[in-house]
Amino acid sequence: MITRITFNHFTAFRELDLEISPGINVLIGTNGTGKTHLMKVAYAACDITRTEVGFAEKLVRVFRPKGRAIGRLVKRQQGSVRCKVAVYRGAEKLSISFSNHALRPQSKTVKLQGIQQWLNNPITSVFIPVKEMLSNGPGFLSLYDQREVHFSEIYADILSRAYTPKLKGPVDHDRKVLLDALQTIMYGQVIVEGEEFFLKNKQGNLEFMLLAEGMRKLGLLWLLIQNGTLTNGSVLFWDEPETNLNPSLYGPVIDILLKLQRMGVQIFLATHDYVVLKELDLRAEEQDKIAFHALYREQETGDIKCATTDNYLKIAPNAIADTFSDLYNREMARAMGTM
Amino acid sequence: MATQLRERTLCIDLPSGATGEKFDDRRHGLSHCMKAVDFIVEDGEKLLLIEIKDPDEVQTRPISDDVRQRVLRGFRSRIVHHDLASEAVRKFRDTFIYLWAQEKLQGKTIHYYLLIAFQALDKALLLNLQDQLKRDLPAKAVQPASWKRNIVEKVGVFNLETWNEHLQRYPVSRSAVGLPEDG
Repeated sequence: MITRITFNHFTAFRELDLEISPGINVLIGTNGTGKTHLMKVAYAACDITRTEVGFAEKLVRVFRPKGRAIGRLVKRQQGSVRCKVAVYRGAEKLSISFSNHALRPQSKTVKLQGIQQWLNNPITSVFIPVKEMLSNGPGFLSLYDQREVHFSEIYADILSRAYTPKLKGPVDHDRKVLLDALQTIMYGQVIVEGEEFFLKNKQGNLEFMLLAEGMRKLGLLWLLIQNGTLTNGSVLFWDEPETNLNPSLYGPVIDILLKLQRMGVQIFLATHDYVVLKELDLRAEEQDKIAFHALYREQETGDIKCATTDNYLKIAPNAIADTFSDLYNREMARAMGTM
Repeated sequence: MATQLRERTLCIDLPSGATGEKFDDRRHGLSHCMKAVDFIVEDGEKLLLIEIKDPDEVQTRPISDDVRQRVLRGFRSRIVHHDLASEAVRKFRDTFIYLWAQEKLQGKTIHYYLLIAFQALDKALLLNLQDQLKRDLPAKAVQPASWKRNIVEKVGVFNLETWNEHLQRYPVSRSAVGLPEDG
């Protein structure tokens, strides 16, 4: 479980210190407030515990700075500046620092701390990017391995997770409930033949390419539960789960996320969607641990700050709800004839 | 006829010349078959039908926390499942028929206002309720071209704050103690 993340002069952030909930962490904020960056850093820290790729190397593969120059991830400003990133897991701390002049992840100026202890306890993690990848699966991984393709490693990683074969033995009760719920809303289950994904139901096997993109996302979630990637102790990062899904499906999906959280999966969600937030608010039960992290740009300094709360109504600033308030105000002005 | 409308701790002041009455289905004698809005206000050529929902008041009632939570949960679920909107539509229509039969609609334009005092209800949900009401009453924009008259002139869903913003002619306030209900 990630417990805290701190940034100093990293990408868009001057300074950030974020306490992370062991349950569901919802990141909200307008475009360009660093939601995805936050998740990518935490994901990189988790992923290297299994692959033992260096932290600096993984950051470069995930963020893809031009020419693999890790220094380009330092917050842009004049002169020499060093950035520092730290990810905490209770008392364990993994930190990395580098200057804006660092040209390679292997540069001597890249300093890493706490890596030995960090690698002692592997964490299973998965990052679901905004763009759906399963339909592009066939051939992608070998292409990615053999050629220099300009894709964040997030995309190759999610495919590897999806191709992980299913767990041995019978499916336990908790997972069965989740798989059944997903099968109900996507009318089938997912099978993999070679490198190609199909939705299997009474009508036969349907290629993923022929499925609605929202359905492919549900299929991915189904696979990750079925193959045990999402299980007690693992960490799920999901960037804009609402993309391509009809809002009527948000409820069932949020229910599944809440249940995963109760099973011990730590979750990070970045969202722009009111219905996602409100479904979480309405469906969450008392025992659920939910933190809303509102990222915003401070007016005077332009710095990105974060306000965290566990209460939906106390999210401030809440650009999503503010937009609806604005719509309501204009609608009422029109309805009441005061406009 | 009163110049002030009272619903437990909520109080709506009426301007001079306007009169209001508590309506609701306990009073109109047809509770076995017809629903009713809470208040009817006559203000010149305007006839306001007012329906009040006040879950916030539950917070101050001397009841156990369990009961309180149950009431509030019930209310939230009615919002989520659209029951609130369909109930509001039913109340409007039944009241409309009742007033029609009384020949009280002649020369009047009808305004339907729903006041929901519930802090957990944000403006997105208010907006959604407003749209549902407009769609289902139905309001002007939805009615068939063959209709010669609007059954409702203006429709509004408000919380306390937005009520006072848009309906300054009929300010609403909350008193610390429950007022005896009118009539």
